[in-house]
This record gives sequence, C-alpha cells and structure tokens, in this order.
Amino acid sequence: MTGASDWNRISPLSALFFIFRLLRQVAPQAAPGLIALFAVMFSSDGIGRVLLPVALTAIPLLMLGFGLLSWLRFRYRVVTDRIQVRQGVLEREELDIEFERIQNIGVREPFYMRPFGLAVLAVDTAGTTDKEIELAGIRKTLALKIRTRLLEDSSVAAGEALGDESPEASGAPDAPGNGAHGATLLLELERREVLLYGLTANVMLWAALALAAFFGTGDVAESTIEGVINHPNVQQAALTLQREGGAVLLGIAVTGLGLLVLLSLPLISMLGALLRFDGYRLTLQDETFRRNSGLLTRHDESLRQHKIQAVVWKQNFIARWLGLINLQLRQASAGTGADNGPMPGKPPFTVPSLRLEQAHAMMSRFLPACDSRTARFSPVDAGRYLRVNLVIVLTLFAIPLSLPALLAHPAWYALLLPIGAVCWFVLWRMGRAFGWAVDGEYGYIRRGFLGHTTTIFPLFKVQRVDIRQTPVQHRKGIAHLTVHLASHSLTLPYVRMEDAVKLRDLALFAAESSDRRWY
Amino acid sequence: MSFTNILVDTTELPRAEELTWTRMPPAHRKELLAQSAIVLTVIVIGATAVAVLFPYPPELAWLFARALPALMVMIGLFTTLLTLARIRLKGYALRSHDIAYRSGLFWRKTTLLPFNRIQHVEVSSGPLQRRFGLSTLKFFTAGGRSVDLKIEGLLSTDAERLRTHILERSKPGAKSG
Repeated sequence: MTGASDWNRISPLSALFFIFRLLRQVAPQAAPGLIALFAVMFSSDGIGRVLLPVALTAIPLLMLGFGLLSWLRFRYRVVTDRIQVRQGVLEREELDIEFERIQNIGVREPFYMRPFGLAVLAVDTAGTTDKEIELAGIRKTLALKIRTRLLEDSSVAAGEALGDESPEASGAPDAPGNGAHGATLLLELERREVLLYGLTANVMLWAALALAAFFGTGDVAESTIEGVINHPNVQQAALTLQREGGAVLLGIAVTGLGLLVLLSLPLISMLGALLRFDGYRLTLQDETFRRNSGLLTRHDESLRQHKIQAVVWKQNFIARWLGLINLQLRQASAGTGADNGPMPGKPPFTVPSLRLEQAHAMMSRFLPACDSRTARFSPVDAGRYLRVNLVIVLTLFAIPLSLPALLAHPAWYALLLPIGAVCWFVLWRMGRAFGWAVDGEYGYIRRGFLGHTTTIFPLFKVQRVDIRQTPVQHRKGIAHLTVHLASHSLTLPYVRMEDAVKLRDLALFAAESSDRRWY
Repeated sequence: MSFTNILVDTTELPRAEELTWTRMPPAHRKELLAQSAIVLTVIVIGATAVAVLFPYPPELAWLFARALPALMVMIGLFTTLLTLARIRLKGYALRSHDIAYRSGLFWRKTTLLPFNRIQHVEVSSGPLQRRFGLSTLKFFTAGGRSVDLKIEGLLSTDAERLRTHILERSKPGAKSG
C-alpha cells in the first residue's frame, strides 16, 4: 500500500451531507419513537422536563459530531484502474472499486453545495457487492473530470457538461471530451410535463406506502397516542369533548384528516416530481445517455447503452387517460430479487411523460433494433387465473366471517358477495393484462390492472429461468414462468406450458449462443 | 453498433424438456434419513421430558403423556416421508451450455442456468453431509439477492468435478465441448 500522501480529502461541507444521509437512513425508523419520547418528556413534570432540553441539544450535537467525524475520516483516491475510499466513524471501512465493475455514475449538486461549486459524485456498482461510493463535497469540475475518466476507462467516452445551465459547467476546461459536439438532445421537458409525471408516476403509491409503514409501527404510534391521552390536560379536554358529544367530533376530525392526507397525495407526488425532474434534459453521446434534472439539487446521471438490462414501459390509468408513458431503464443491481421495483432508495433511470410515438422512438434508442410497435402479445390462461385466485381470496375472507355468521346470523356471509364482486373485477383485469411476446431479439412481459407495465429485455441478457407448476397445473398444461434478469425478476403466472418452454428455450438460446457482454 | 437479428426456428431449438436427469446419490437419502432420525430423537426426548417434568393436572395426562407426543412423532414421520418423496423427484442435468435442476414435490420447479451467466460457484458441506461424503453446490449470478441455484446432496467428488467443469465453461469465450 502506498503512503497516505496521495489520499485526498473532501470539503468540510460534506459534514452536512453525512448528517443528511444519516437522517435519511435513520429517520423512518426513529421518527415514531422520537415523537413518543418527546411527547412523554413534554407531558411529564419531573425528570422528563429536565431531560427535554438536554435531548434537544444533545441530539443535534451528536449528529454534528457524527458529520464532522465522517468528514475527518473520509479519504479517497483514484488510481490507474480503480477508485478507493477509506471511511467510517466507528468502523473503519475501505472500499475498492474497479472501473470495470461500475454500472452508473451520477454527479449531483445539492442546494447547499451549489453556491460553492461543489458536487457529489456517486459511483454505483452491481453484482456481488452492493457497496456504493459517494464522494461528497468535491469540486464540480473535479467530479466531472473523474466521471469522464471512469467512463473512458470502462471503454466508452462520455459527453461533458452539456445542457447544464449552472455557471460552473463552463468551468471544466481541462475535462477531456468537453464540449457539446456530438451529443444529441433526446428529450427536454417543460415544467407542465414534469407536473404531469407527478400525477402519473407511482410516487403516489410510494407516499401511501410510506404512510402505511409509518402507521404500521402500530405499537409505537399507539403508545404515543396513549402517552398524549394520559396527560391530564389532554385527558380533561378529551373528557370535555366526550361530554359534549365529542366522540362524533373526534371521529369527524380523524376522518377529515385522513381525507386531507389522501387528497394531498397527488400534490406531494407532483412536488416530488418537480424536485427531481425540473429542467429535465436527456442527451445521448457515444452510446451514453445523460440525464440532467432537479429543482434544488441538480442530478446529472450517466448510463451506457449496453448496461441497460431492461426497459420498463409504464402506463397507469391516469397516464393512460392523459396519453402519457413513463419509461424506466433498469441496470444490473445487487439485492434486487423481488418482482417489483428496484431496491429502496435507489430510483431507476426514468424517462418521464412521453407521448406514444415519442416512447416508441425512445425504445429503439435504448434497445437497438427494438421495435415496440410490432410486438404481438400472447395471453395467459386468464380464466384459470381468475377462478383459482378468486377461490383462494374468498376462502380467506370466509374464515373470519364464519365467526359472526355462526354466532350471530348467517347473513354475515352475504358480505362475501360485494367482496367477491370487487375481487372478481380486480382479478379479471389483472388476468387479462398478463401477456408475453418475443419480437426480434427482445422479450416482452406485460402485467397490469387498470394500466399496463411492460418490461422489454434483450433475450440474451437473461440470467436464469425458472418454471414452476403444481401437479394439477402439470395435468392442465399450465405453469408459472420466472425470468431472472440482472436488474430484476419477472413472473408470468398461468402461462401455457408450451409457451413457457418456448420463451425459456428462446432466452436460453440467445444467452448461450451470444458472446456479447451482457453487463 | 453491430446488431444481428437472428431468425430462430423455434422447432429447431434444443428443448429443455428432453433432458436426462441425474438423480441424487443414495448417500443423500441416507443423510436425510439420519437428519430425520436426529430430529425425531430430539422430539421424543423433549416429549418425554415434558411428560415427566411438566406438572400437568392428572386428568390431562392423555393430552401431555400420549396425544401430544404421538402427534409430534406422527408429524416427524410424515415430514420424513415427504422428504423421501421429494428426493425421488430431485435431479440435475448438465448440458454443454447450461445446467438444469428440478425439485419440489408440490411446487415442481425447474431451473435452467446458462454457464456464461454464472458469477461464482461455491461448494459447502455441513457436518452431517461430511459424514456421508456429500456437498452442496451453489451458483450465483448477477442481480440475485442470494444463491440462484443450490444443489444439495451431491457426492463431494461429483460436486468438485462439476464445479471445475462449470467454472471452465463459464469463462468468457469458452467453447462448448
């Protein structure tokens, strides 16, 4: 190992970055507990009152200390074919990433770094390690230079600083490959389109999920409420309310709050879209896609064409109504075995708010020779899918209903009718949405409910294929097919066995007969 | 950019259904039987301990001293039978470009893994497996959360041979033989 002299430090401003990152990681788990803690401290008269100011000063101080220590202990260097980082407050950690393994390089400028011409360089690898390097608080020019070098070393050159409105962009004169020549502008979004993306993206769902997760920590939330209620004044107020028929009022208040939250979800979602995608520009140079966007923090992400494992074509019911399509480019990533989505906290490379023709044209850019217009989808056995799942769902509902039905009145079973009707509709739509196609050297797998989500992947990039069936399905010639990509996995249920085998054999043939690099 | 668009006649494709499956060695059955025997022994000891030491009321003797131990032993025997049935369906097949593995009694699953997608291969063997000269072969590809394919109960010599062979084949540019 060489001496410590060639290890570089980052700006002290990165302390802020480390604090924010810590907050982002810890807040979701810690928030309910902290709220409860503060509620209890605030409501007690004795020791809690004393502890409150202590806690209020100690926590920020601790975080500041953590940020400063993180900055002090952070070192990085870029040597011939690799980037190395030493970091860690309690545990010393040394990361060593070969340029070869890098999947994605992003440069972003958080609002508190922009005035100082500083940026964050994020290097994302995939495969056996999910370690990610983030160089926070280095000069933006240096970040762009390192990125160029990384991209060049992994055999494809990158365009530089194109489409960046910030004044620092011109300050990278010594960055190789600098200049706008050769870069093609693929997409530029107006603010209106970004806001529309906010409506059509699943951000809404994420927000709802976040809320659910928050309320899911029921015991903590409950104890918080209990703590607040037990406080004499609140109890008195609650009692008074109750005497005045407040139970109704309280109910209305809670319902109103719930409705308000639900109504504000689209707004939150649009705000999220604006923060992330304002001033969206997508360019292409030397087979590298570059995305520039962000209201407060500017994101500058690069992705090489051959690193795309799959493109997800998303159109939910609102998007369908507005005639818009969102595309997601998926890359190899560690830790994503699940059917849905990338790992939390790492958003996919999104190309939002496309009109149909635009989307088709974009597809052939992302996946060469892919013509998304010509794919002909084959259905799955939607009837069987509907019947089997309906029986399962209704059985699950019938069991808890049996208790009141047996004890009180069999009429309780009548509830199964509306439940069954809703489930029937959902399953009918879902069963009909499933489909698959092979067109040229690409595979298509479609699912959906009111809208559609279609994943298009180069057959030769398939990693592994599973076919599962129960003995009954075996007799009926039906199977579940799972295609594993390096980015994520796709399952096609209730597909005809001959179709499953055909799709599998085509994918295997493509994967095994190709000596092209899949990563 | 050089992209070829090969036209494939799907009837000409090698069909994964026409595989000759290699069954697991008899030692694997012995190993699983030994495992079941150990579990059953633990159950019997536990049940005896409960029957002797637990201060249950005498009118519940039928439950604690007879019904519960009998039920547990029956469950143990039943799972043993299931395991034996499962072994009969387990198997793998090696082709020039990929490995196939099938398993499962109720959910029958067939996995096909191309050699040129394998990132690394691992051979492991637990204490009981070592006793019977067996190993587990694990394959990892990109993007998987954990192991992508696991073949349990191979003879250690076979596992080692398979690993060498497959690693040789999974190298970029390796030709079929």
